[in-house]
Amino acid sequence: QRFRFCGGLDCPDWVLAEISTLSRLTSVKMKLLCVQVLRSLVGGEIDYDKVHKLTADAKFEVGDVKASIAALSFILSSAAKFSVDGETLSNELQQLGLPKEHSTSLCKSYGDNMETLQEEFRRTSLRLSSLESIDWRVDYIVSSSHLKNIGEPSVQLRLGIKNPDTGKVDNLTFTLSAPKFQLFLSGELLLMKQQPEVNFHFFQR
Amino acid sequence: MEVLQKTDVNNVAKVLHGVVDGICHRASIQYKDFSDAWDLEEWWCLIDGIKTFAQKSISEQWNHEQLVQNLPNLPEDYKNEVINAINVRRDDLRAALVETTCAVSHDSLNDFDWQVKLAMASDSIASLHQPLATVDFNLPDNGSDKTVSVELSQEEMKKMIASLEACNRIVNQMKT
Repeated sequence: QRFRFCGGLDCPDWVLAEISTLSRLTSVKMKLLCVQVLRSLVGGEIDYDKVHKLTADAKFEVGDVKASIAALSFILSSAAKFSVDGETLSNELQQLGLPKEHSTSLCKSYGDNMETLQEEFRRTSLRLSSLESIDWRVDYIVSSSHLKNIGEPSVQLRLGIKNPDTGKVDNLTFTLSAPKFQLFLSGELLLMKQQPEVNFHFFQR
Repeated sequence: MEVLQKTDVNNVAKVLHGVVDGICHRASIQYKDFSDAWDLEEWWCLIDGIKTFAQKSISEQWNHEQLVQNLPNLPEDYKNEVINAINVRRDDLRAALVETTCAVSHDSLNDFDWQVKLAMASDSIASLHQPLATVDFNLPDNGSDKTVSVELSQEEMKKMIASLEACNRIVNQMKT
């Protein structure tokens, strides 16, 4: 059976197994657990003390706590990844055996936070490098051993290139003559004007 | 430069322009086209002589008399061919020498290339649609070349262009 929130694939077995674990919580407690998980998905920290309090009544062991957090993380992030709306998600979770009340409260949380999640996922998608900073200096060249009377400007550029894996910023410094610099700038301006468009029909199956 | 006489006067312009092309980092002159006129050693001496003469004439800004004075031992018609070629290529030579000067300190940018692409999807999100530009900077590296790549999102590109445009205003002010 295919589910939209799983990207059109089957629901993983382990998620299916944890649906019953989640059902042991009251729907209110589950919603509060969702809040914690959503916070972690956008870069925050889970407050494990709160979590233990929430799950104490249902007599969750450590393994159950870990599993339910993992299952909720998967459900919420996968649904956001595939842009699934709250209602569809609710129906699909009910098909998997999550009680109606639980599905409704989960999907309400999800619906309120879907855009925030997607923005975070977009922001943290794979980047090969990024431009952290750019510094420049214009020099006036008076003379050199190659040419006696110059009297022309030259540009020094320093680009701060960030490696997204290590977070380290490397500086790339180089010099350009004025004509080369202006060629570079006009190239970049041309680049800005390029609006990449894709014929979407090609990708629809 | 006396060895120039070994070839016909009509070829002098070709040789001169070929050497200047080499100075300006375009395709330079090939020995094999003139191997019947000079042997290899004479060829190297000739090319060096022409290069030095061309660079000095632009650097010292020789006028006609000085150009003539610095070309001893050549018949009139050969002298004229050489001087004509230098005069015609003055601007090119000057631009090439300015570029060489810029390369004196720090790495000087040899070349740059760019491409624009659309990132469609990632493992985090199925529908990304983010335009990204990749710029490759080609710089010298101890004799050979190295290429450094930077990936830019639209915001980073805008930031970079704003900075470069400010720089360009100053550059334009300084160009008299």
